[in-house]
Amino acid sequence: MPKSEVKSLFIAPLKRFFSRPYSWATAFSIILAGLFSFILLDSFVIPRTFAEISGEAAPLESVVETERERKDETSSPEITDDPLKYGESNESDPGDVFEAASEEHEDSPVIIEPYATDSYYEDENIKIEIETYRVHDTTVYAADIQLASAQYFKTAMAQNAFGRNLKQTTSEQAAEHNAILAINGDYYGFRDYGWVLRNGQLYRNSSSENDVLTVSPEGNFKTHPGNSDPSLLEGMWQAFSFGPALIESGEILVGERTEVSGRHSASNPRTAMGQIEPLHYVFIVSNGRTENDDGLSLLELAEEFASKGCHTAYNLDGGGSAAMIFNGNIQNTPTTNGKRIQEREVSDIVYIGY
Amino acid sequence: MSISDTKPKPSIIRTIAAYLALSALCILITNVYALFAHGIRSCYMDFMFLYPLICGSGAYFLALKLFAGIQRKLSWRLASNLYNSGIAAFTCGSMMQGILEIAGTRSKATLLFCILGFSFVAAGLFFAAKSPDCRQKG
Repeated sequence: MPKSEVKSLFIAPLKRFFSRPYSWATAFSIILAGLFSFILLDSFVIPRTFAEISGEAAPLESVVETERERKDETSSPEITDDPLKYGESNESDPGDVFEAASEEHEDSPVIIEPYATDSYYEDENIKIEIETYRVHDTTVYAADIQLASAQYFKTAMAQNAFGRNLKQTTSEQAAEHNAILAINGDYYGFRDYGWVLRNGQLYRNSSSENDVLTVSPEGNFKTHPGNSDPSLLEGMWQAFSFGPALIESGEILVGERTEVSGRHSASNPRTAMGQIEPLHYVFIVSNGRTENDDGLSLLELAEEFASKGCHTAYNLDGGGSAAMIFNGNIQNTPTTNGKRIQEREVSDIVYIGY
Repeated sequence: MSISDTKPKPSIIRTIAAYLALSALCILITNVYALFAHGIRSCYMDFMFLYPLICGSGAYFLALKLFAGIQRKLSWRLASNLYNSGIAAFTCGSMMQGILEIAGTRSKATLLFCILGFSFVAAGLFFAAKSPDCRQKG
């Protein structure tokens, strides 16, 4: 095409258009606004499903079998037939823990006359006690949990799918899964990085700067830096990517200025979980952002877990997401801005149930 | 005013003033946003005012002092539009990154703001440097 033709076809009309006052600024502003809106919608609104979760959680036995095969390659663990009791676990061979539990369940019904009150639940496999108290001008809800097996330590995803911006309230998800106790999870669906391993199924193994919590098939907590080798996820039961790690090996890891992902913030509503001993856990949810509740700093939260004897504790998504559901009733006062008391929709929950 | 406008006007002074006002607006937006973000801040948002302040008013001030006849460049209007667009893209990108960081997420799409910013700033500087002075024409 001759140069003069190009000029008359493209350059001249463009010149005419942009010779008008503010036409360039207007056109570019529209482009920027469109891009801005697209990123906001993509990040916060548009739901995308990456994987459907079929039915209930993957059987824990399959995870245990995988873990056993992995361990068999390097060692031959001892096998014991001790029956399970609260707080006991078999560190040497997780498979036996769950086989023993399964055999026990085959012999007798899983739930026998559970005893439940507003703050207490007990059956032969699960014992939960909710304690409500005030500390640092904040109401704190602490659930002491003892399990017969890690198979009752479960997670669920909103709309039964792994994806981005898939959301339901903690209470809706808890109801769908008949959870006895549920707290909000790590809100994995708000990010496209960080490990996501739920009920033995790995959904995402991209690393992030966030600390990671893994839960072994024995039900033991262990925190790791976010950039750890993904191979440590092999044979794990759960993995969360939010953080930071509050306590590891009995040592408090956060300071007065520590905040989620290094962001500086005031005290907030919090959700976190810790482990005291094998199959003995503490879930803590605190209020915040209201006239009555200041909220907790991460250090104050860690101190709460330390006072309960936790050797490991890990922070989950808090703020407006913080929610604890017990026997279908919400325990805390969830709020995003302190004015409206309303549960926020989240992408996942951690729950205790069958 | 048109792309091929050849009359030198005191538009640079106006541009510097506009960029200073934009810097102040950015600081205001940052602080208002922080009020609603429960004290959580992001350095991307905290420092986004630097784009209009340094790359905007600072650069135009330098142009005014060092290249007094720059407005007489044949493609001054085009160069100025391109450069301003680049600064706008950088500033919006910084704000977007700040919003996402405060919310606790990130998006690869924010890279588009950087690409736009670099492209337009480079194109603006190119036209400003390469375009002949309008007095030399004809």
